[in-house]
Amino acid sequence: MNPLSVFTYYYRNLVKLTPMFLVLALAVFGISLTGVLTGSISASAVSKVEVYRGAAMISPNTAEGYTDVDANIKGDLAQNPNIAATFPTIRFATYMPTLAGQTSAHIYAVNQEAFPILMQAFDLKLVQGRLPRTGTNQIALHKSLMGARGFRLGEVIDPANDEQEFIPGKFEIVGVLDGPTQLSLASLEFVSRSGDFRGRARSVLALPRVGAQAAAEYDIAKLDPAMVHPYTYSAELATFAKDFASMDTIVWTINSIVVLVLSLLAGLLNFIYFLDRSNEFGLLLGIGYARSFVIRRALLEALLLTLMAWVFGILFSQFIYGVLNAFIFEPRGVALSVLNWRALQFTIPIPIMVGLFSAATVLWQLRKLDPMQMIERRD
Amino acid sequence: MLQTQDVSLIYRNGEGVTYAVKRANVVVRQGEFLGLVGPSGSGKSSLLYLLSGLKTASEGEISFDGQAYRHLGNDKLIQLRRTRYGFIFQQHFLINYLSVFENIMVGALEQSPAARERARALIAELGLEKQSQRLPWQLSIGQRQRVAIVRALINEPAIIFADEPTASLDQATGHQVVDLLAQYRGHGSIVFVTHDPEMLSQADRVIRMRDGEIVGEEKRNGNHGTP
Repeated sequence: MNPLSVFTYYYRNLVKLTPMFLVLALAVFGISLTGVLTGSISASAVSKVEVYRGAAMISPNTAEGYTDVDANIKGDLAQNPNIAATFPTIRFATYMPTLAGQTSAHIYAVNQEAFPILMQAFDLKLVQGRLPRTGTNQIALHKSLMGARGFRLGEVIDPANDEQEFIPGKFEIVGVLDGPTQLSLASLEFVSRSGDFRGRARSVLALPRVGAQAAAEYDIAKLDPAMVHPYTYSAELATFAKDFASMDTIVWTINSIVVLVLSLLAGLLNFIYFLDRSNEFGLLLGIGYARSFVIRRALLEALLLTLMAWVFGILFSQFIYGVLNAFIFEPRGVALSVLNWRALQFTIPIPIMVGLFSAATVLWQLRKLDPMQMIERRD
Repeated sequence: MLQTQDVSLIYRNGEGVTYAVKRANVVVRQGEFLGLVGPSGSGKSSLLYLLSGLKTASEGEISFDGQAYRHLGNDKLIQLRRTRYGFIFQQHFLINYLSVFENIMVGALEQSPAARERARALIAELGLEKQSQRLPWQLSIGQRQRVAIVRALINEPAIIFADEPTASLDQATGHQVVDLLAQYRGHGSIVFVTHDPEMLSQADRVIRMRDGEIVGEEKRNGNHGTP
């Protein structure tokens, strides 16, 4: 083993370097956690917006007393060259627990013939059971909702048995849907004549033609706001991004403070290590090692340690999330992963800043180190 | 081989000027054991640091094999120290997390099998085989200094500069260290600084210093090396 290799230094100084390594790794875990949690909150919010990607929804303006979309508007939408198809719908919801707290999960009640078209538009697949039969109080729930609520096929969602439940009527779960958009389906024929849904607004789902989503959304956004409320993907996404930006700023600010404190700590520890090793550096310079070699070696030690702690922190986080996913989150329809760009993005400043502070401290000390100060010392 | 011409080391403090070494003329001959002796503060260590290129002369010239330090440039002077000189300091300066063997290999020019073999041979010669995997704190002070000697010898340097290597040792151990160094005479020169004249019993030549100046030179043993 080369006595001056970085790994010899690490191997022989495990006890000394472990605390720093663990502090960095735990910081990576903590900071990645903020990324993962806010990412999960964001994903749960985005999933609500995602339902408008496959089809825009045009709801009557209930504040103005409309309970149905004006017939002329329906006609215009049906004639619009950017819109492939329109379907009547009554949208309702049930609750869904998430990491960010309780949220509502959309259920579209549509006619029987709309099921396959909507499933295709939203890239949904029936993975268990069957689709609701026409005119029955049956429902096909999204897999994530099934997991989050702990439902099983054949169970009945009954607001009378659950005080948190706000679904208007009793529904039997007959199918499980899976796909990127968290959406559940029910029979419009049933909902339209059920007393539980009396007075509910009847909306229109508008499926954009392939390649014409932007144009379709543009046309829909121009509809008379006094009569309808249009929900399009681009508009809802813009609103979400605006709301989420402030949360991101707060998280980034807190994380930046943590990283700065960590960097100062790393710089200080490196300074202490330097003082502890000043005889070693003095000897190497004294017996003829080039200063550039000594600096390069010390820099590599500091930077590699930071990098290894970061990688370990990421792997450790992924392991912890894996365990949490297996036992807690996945059964509830949520999956945490640090191996996503958002979580990684939060942790990347750690190796950069800590490495920079550590390297700067070492560089600053070694550049001005006079080996004679060590060699001539008589103690 | 190594020689100085009116070399001085001057410390300036405001208006005042202090000569750590004053116009010293020294020649280190090939294969000789040169002792530098004098009381504390006489400038003997400073002269050794000037000779070895660890300190830069304020005045005068120092040259090795005809090449003046002044004209070598810093990089080449560092290279000269690394390749042709060996150092033993008053403190052993062993790296505390490396074993005896690894500390010796720190001095080696390259981590080659040949260098490792030479390190093993030197360890055996100096009776440190049992200690070769020990860490410095597990050794006696005398053993540490012997390790420092092996580290200085590993590259078979042209000159070994030893700055009071016996200062922290008892008389018997000190003499052992001197004996070890004296054996190197056949391979290279030794410049040995001490305040204890008794440690120079094996020296070929002894230069006495006081207040930064050379005040005397004494030839011994008849072996004066090759100029």
